[in-house]
Amino acid sequence: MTEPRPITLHVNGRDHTDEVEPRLLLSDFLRHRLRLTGTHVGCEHGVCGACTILLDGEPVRSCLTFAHQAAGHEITTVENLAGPDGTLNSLQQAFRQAHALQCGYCTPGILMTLTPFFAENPKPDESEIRDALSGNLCRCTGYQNIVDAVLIATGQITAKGTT
Amino acid sequence: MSPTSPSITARKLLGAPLTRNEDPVLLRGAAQFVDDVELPDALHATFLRSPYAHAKLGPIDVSAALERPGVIAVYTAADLGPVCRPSPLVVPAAPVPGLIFNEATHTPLATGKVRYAGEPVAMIIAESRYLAEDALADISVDYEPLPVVVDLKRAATPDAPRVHDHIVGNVAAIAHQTKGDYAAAAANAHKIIRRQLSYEHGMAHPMETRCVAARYDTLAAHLTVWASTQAPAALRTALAERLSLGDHDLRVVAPFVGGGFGVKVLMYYPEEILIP
Repeated sequence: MTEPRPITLHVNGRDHTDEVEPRLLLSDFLRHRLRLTGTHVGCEHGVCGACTILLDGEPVRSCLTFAHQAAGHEITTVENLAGPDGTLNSLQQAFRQAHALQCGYCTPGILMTLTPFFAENPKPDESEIRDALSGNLCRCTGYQNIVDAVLIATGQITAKGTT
Repeated sequence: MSPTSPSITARKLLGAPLTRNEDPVLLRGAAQFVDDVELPDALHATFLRSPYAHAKLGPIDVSAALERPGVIAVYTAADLGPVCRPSPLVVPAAPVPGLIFNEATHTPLATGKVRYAGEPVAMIIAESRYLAEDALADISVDYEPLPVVVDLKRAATPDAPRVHDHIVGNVAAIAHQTKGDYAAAAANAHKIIRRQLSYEHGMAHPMETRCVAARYDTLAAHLTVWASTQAPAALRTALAERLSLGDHDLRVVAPFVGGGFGVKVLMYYPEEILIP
């Protein structure tokens, strides 16, 4: 029952093969097997959203998913957002411009929640953005600057001081 | 560089938006927090916590946990000796004239009785976090439940159950502070308002919970501790005292910290003492 079983996961465009227990969480597989530690674990029971990753393009809490459940699916983590040379994408840049992060612990989960959100909704209004963020907790920012970052990233406002 | 260096004066710092140097590494998911510190062959700790708010602690049977494959050790207060002594006060009593201060601090693991639901009773060390958590169910604790009190006013009455046996009425401190000339101000006041103020139980909830990793280098006789703390230097000195080491025998590293809000400026949390 708890014996390790072979697993192949497709993460950020690459296949990773390993042998892990059926009960190993996807969050632990990503963090401690693949050393993709950008996916953070906050509450570890599905409340805070810090561990959010994309599974076939949909935001999913990796702390509520077993690694074996993700086999055969396309997994994307925060490490995949910036370019190969580390250049921040437009959402990441907007977060920096709007000061949408302080301690940065919740940020990877929020970026992974927002990435598919504004791919589907290129001009979200503030209430839609707040609704999209409702499954992610942030303790530093009070969310306002995160909303601003999305408005900047979607071209609806301009970052302060850059006009 | 001279104070009038053009490179300084040309840059407008005050009143201008500045981007933070640490943001790119955080936004790329490349910032290192304590749980990202990967120590080869590290063991993992978990804590058995009291389900009772107030109970006398009887015998603790850890034998089944020790038999579980992958479990390395189980510690209770009795196993820890002087390491499990009450911690010093982190914040000293305020210098208020006539202050009555009833000092009571906690021990890293519950000693004699438990005083709140969730108080750590035993620490399990195992080869993985999963195995350590499995072993929690193996420990049997003989609790004798004691009367509890959850209402602040009721707790402060002389016959209320006592959290600390030597403090009647559970009152931590009595302080009367005065400023100015109240009698004169009251005599001239348009209106006098009397209020009794109640404060909510303040809680801080950083997104990164408390965590500690430690490695002892036997060749160098040096201890390195990674802690999600706002006070690494103070924690180093406190740990040196608790572990009978010199300040130079250990180093406390605070890597990226996932929020603190003050809880991580305090010290003597059970895992901070016991894991190193």
